[in-house]
Formats: sequence, C-alpha cells, structure tokens
Amino acid sequence: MKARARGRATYADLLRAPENLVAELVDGELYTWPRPAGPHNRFASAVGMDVGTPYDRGGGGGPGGWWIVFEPEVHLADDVVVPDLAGWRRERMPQIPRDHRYTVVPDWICEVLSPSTGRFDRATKLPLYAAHGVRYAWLADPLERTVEILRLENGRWSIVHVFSGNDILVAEPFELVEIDLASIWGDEPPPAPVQSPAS
Amino acid sequence: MDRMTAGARARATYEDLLQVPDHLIAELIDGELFTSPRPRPRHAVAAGAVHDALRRQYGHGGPTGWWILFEPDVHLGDDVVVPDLAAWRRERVPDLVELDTITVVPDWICEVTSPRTGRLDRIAKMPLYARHAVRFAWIVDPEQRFLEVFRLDAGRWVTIGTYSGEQRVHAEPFDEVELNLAELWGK
Repeated sequence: MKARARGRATYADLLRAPENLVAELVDGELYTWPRPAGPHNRFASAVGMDVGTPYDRGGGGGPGGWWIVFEPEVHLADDVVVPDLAGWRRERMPQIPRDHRYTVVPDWICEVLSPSTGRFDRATKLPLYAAHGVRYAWLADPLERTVEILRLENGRWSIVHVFSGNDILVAEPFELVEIDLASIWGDEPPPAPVQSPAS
Repeated sequence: MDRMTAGARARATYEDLLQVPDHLIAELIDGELFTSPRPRPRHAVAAGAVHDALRRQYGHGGPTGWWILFEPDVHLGDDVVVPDLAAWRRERVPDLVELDTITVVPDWICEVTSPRTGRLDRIAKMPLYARHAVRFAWIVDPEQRFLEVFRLDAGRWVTIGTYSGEQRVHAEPFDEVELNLAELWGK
C-alpha cells in the first residue's frame, strides 16, 4: 500500500507508521505492508537458517565471514527498505549497527514476492539495489515455488539462474549450501490444480 | 496455467499438444505440456496496446520494417511456445507471411504476465527464449502495472529497464516508439 503524503515523505513519516506494518521509503514515497503471510515468512526463515548456519555462524564446517540478517532496516541514502533477508561480508561491515539502521549496502538480498508486492519488489526495489551496488539478489515466489538468482553486472541485473519446484538450489554467493526447495514448501498445497488435456 | 501430470511420467510430445482443446493455449517446453486459458480482458488490453503502438511505427515493409504477430505458434526445436506478441525483422524473414509454421527464432517477444503465471513466463519460457537466442524480451504485468525490458547478453537476460505506472517509455529494440503505459492498463 502506498501512502502518498502531501509532499515528499521523510524518515519521520516512516517512524510514525503503525508498528504492526512494515514501512519502507523510496524516492519520497512511504509504503506500508502487512506482516508477511505464512509461506512468505517460512521461506525467508528456512533460507536464513540454511545460509546463515554455515555463512554467518560458521556451523557445519561452514566458512563464516558473513552477517545474515532477517528484515533489516536498510538505509540507502534517503531511501529506507526492508529486504526479507540481507547478507553482508563482515569485511565490509565489521560491526552490526548499535541501533536499527543498517547504513552499509548489503552484498546480498533475498526478497520473497507476494502477489501484492511484485511491482514494488521488481520495479522499485531491484533498481534501487542496483543503483547502490548490491551484488546479488534472490527473488522467491513461494506460491509459485520459484526462485530467481540475479547478479549485478555493469550496474544491471542479470538473471543467472532460475529454480523451481523440487530443485536443489545451489547459487552464488552461497554456493556451498544446497537448499532443498521441496523441504521448504513441500508441506504446502501445490501451486496450481493439475489438468490433463482431453484425450 | 496447468502442468500436465503425465509430464512427470513421460515426456509430452507434439501429438499431446494437438489433443489440447481449442479453447486453451497449449505450449510444449522441455517435454512438459502447459495449458493456459484464453487471456482475460486486462491481459488482452495490454497486449493490444503494445501491438498497436508497434504496428503503427514498424508494420511496414522495407529494411526497417518488422513483422509483429499476436500469439503466434513458434516452434523452436522440439519446443512450441505462444508468446503474447513476437516480432521479427523483415529483412531476416522476408517471406514470413508465406510460412505454414514459424520455426524462425523471434528477435523480440512480449509476455503479458500476472503473479499467478510467473512460473510459466519467468521460469519456463524466459530461459527457453534465452537458449534460442531471442535478443529482446518484455514482460508486462497489467495487474501490478509495470513493464520490464530485458536484453540477452552472453546467453543471459539482463534487465535494461523497469517502468511502472503511467510513464512514457522508449524501450529497446523499439526505441523510436513512445509507449504510453497508461494505454496498456486501459486508461
């Protein structure tokens, strides 16, 4: 939902958004969203655990060296966005911020699409991330069971791979992790009714 | 869009596609048969607006002309797809109008999508178009009202522009045309 204030919205307007909503501010527009639905939340949580265990916590013999953070409030100049997940190489962000504002550009973000946020994610946030030099983006649609892997090349997003259904997701920048997509959304009803052609 | 269960047991073939009822759009991608209902008005209005804008500028003969087709059956190897719109430079395919079956890779395609058909358009068809070296692709989402423009670069789709709302857009490979996005949304 877009709340167009009189004139450009500011961070002060964002701070006045009701606490049960996720609030984002891009190009002077304030956007507020309900908390994520179950399949959305589930996907982000599972990927956060699969990636975060080896790459943040160094578990299972993983390399560590990253911060993997759920729904951080990321400040990119005057814009404020909340990716579902974000990752930073610790060499680029040695310390987690003391307050809620992350002002270092993430190295990786993961956005989980909802039917109501596709345009905001694809047409507003992705160009913003590109402008600020985020290197990798994963775009997941848990209702359609798809994940698109994007890499920034010369300032533009390049689609390097797409995963769907029961694929095992192995993707940059976390190639050491095998994410079993079936185990994430396998308990949910399948995305579309099955229909065979008349024969 | 529905995905045939039999696809999991055996690869679907063109014979299977021919058995799909006429009121459905049938596509065969990598041995899987996809059937989709005919487009809804919102979808048809968007496709029609793009088609009209391009035909006004490019629908002529000669070296700079393009063939711009609505929902053509395009055969690419063993795959059969029906993009909402596809275009070929006339100099590449001067006799396209004479063909029974199109087996020439389009120079440009446009898919009108929705959040519910993203799996077919973005996950199945876009990689297929990349494999066959379609140069440009547009994805139009008339529910959310935005247009994404992709160019194939070293075998991968690169986003070269994303436009939303009622912007006026000049997008490759049809830069000369001013596309009024409001018309795509029926305004």
